[in-house]
Amino acid sequence: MTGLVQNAIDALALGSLYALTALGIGLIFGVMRLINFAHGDLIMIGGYALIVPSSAAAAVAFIGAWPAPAMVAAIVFIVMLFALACERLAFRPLRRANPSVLLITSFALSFFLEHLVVMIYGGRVKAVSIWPELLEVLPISGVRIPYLQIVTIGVTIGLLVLLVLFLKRTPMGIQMRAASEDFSTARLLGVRANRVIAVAFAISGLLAAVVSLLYVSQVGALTYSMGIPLVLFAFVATVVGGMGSLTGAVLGGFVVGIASVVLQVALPVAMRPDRDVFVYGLILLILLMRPSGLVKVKSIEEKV
Amino acid sequence: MLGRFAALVALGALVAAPLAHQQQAKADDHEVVIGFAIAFSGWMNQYDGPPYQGSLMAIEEFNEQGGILGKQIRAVTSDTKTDTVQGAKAGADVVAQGAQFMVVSCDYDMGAPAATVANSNNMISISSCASDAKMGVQGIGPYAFTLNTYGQGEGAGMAKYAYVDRGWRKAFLLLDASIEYDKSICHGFLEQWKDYGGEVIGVDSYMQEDASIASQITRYKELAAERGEPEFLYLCSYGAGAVSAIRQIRAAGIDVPIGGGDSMDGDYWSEAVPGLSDHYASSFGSIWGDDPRPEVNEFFDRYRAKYGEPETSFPLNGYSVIQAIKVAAERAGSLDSDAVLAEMNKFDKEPLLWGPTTYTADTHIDLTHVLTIIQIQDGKGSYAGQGGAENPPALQLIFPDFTEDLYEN
Repeated sequence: MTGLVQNAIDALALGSLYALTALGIGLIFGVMRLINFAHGDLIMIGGYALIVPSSAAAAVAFIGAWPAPAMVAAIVFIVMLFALACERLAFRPLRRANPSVLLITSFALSFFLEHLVVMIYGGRVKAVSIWPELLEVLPISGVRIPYLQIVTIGVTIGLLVLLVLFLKRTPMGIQMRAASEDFSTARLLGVRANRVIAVAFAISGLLAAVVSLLYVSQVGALTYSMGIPLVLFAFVATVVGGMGSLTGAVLGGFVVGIASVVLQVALPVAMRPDRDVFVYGLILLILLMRPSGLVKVKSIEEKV
Repeated sequence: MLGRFAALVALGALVAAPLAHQQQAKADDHEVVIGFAIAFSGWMNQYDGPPYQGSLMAIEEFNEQGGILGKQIRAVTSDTKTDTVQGAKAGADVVAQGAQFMVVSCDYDMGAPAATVANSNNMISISSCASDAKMGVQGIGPYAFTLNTYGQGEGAGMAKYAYVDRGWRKAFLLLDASIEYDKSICHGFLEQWKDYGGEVIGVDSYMQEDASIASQITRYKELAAERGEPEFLYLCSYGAGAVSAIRQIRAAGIDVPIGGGDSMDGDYWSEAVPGLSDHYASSFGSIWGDDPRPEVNEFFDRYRAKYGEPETSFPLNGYSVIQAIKVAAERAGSLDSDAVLAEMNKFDKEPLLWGPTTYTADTHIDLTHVLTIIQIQDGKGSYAGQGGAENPPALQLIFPDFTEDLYEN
């Protein structure tokens, strides 16, 4: 029983990370039909912003040594700034381009950001320890729950609630939903495209910054490619959940996270290195049964 | 790993080799030209850079002593840009610049394209630290060498240190199954550990990029409760995946001694795990001035004066590469590739700076190298002991790709 509870919490915490990342990707896809693969690199940049820019092997904490509120504010600010710059410099000039051109642009942007980091920080792993006390275990007998898992799950729920309130209650949120439903009609009705898209990028930057902080406090290590696996899993999560649906993105994130923990536990030891074969196999199965994902989105389906 | 790049390597060599022949410039009779076709940019530079510094130190020192066979050594370079296709071009480029010997990247996948170009020019190439036995006769050709021991040997050496020197008997293995190197060191450890009669209470795996190893930790705890606390955890991984696993293991209150391969050399990464203690890794020597070999300490003193604090022990290998060329060429009395090759093939516990080195006509990797074991206590690195494979393995055992069926038995 305790084993079950333990694994359930492990799965929820991992699912939360994927869900937050998927939400960042889903949000941008919703308003501009762009699958932003550079989202993972925003997460990476949030991590590197914690240390002093240098190619020396031993990393020296910079923002990472600040008190928590200042650190969170600074990282969120930096990543949002990068997200807005990506939108303004890379995606806005291509707004009218074919979605495949946008996709390729996001790949180019992703390579650019990664090599920029290699140029400045070097290719070796950088160690950074933020909030090590979060890794301490909650004193409950039998199960082993680090505070970080509780924080991850809590922050995810909190951000989801805030995002829902934003989308349902604020004029900007309503405009964003309208744009995501039908961009041209929304513009005809007076929704300002540039502003809606910029706000969507800013929010996705905020989400990337939060994932960055949670992820780095878990792993304690930075590499220039650290965002790639997260963004791949999150992309798969948005597809499983249903492209264009934010609920779907979150749901998909949890499905992928839970599936990989369940398979990690349930597979025989010899097959565990091939765990991802089964995770993706399961995803294929889901997509075969529900080709448009778990949550169907009307505005997308009509176009397909 | 061979399959993934084999096509690229072959293609690169095909394109580059004839080019190199055409453009080859003859070296001046009064000098020895050593070509470095390594990564001066991209992520691989962090691994090629320190051995290159060691090589430059050797070149400077030997030139002061009169060079090789009375000829001054001159280094020429070309950047592989951490790219396999560019690697072959860089190889051809240093050949065109008149190189008589080639030093290639510190990794089989990254170094093979340039080494293949060298081999097709009948030129000796030495990788400064690739630990894949394919970096030699079998994977490249008769002129290719690597100045390292093989992955399984690293694992076996750590098993020796843990079992014999420390008296630990119960082990747990955690494998990051994302690259062959990790599998090799785990495999070497396991074989040697079982040979000694050590107990393995469990094996589990994860992937380098996994965001969390919470379920592996849960399983470790279950097994430890069932079968008794392990006395040693051998973690077969590298880079961020290893650092992240160690951080999560220690955070879960598991303070078992942890071992790793030479990918965990140095202590620059220990910042990730506050107050890290009881971590052991394979290395070529201690960089902290406490190595039992005075020449190693003296080398790092000179390194410190020139380049600052060393990150890892890999500069030792870079130095030893040039030393190997010098020793073999002077013994051969010639710079002719085949004459030097014949002498290198006869290396029997040749006392190079990184340690006694043995090559034969068909093994161009040092299979019996005695590695240094370093430790991290309270976040600080120091010398811990020595670990070497007891016996050299049968040659076919170090090429698991070709002998998959053997492992089924």
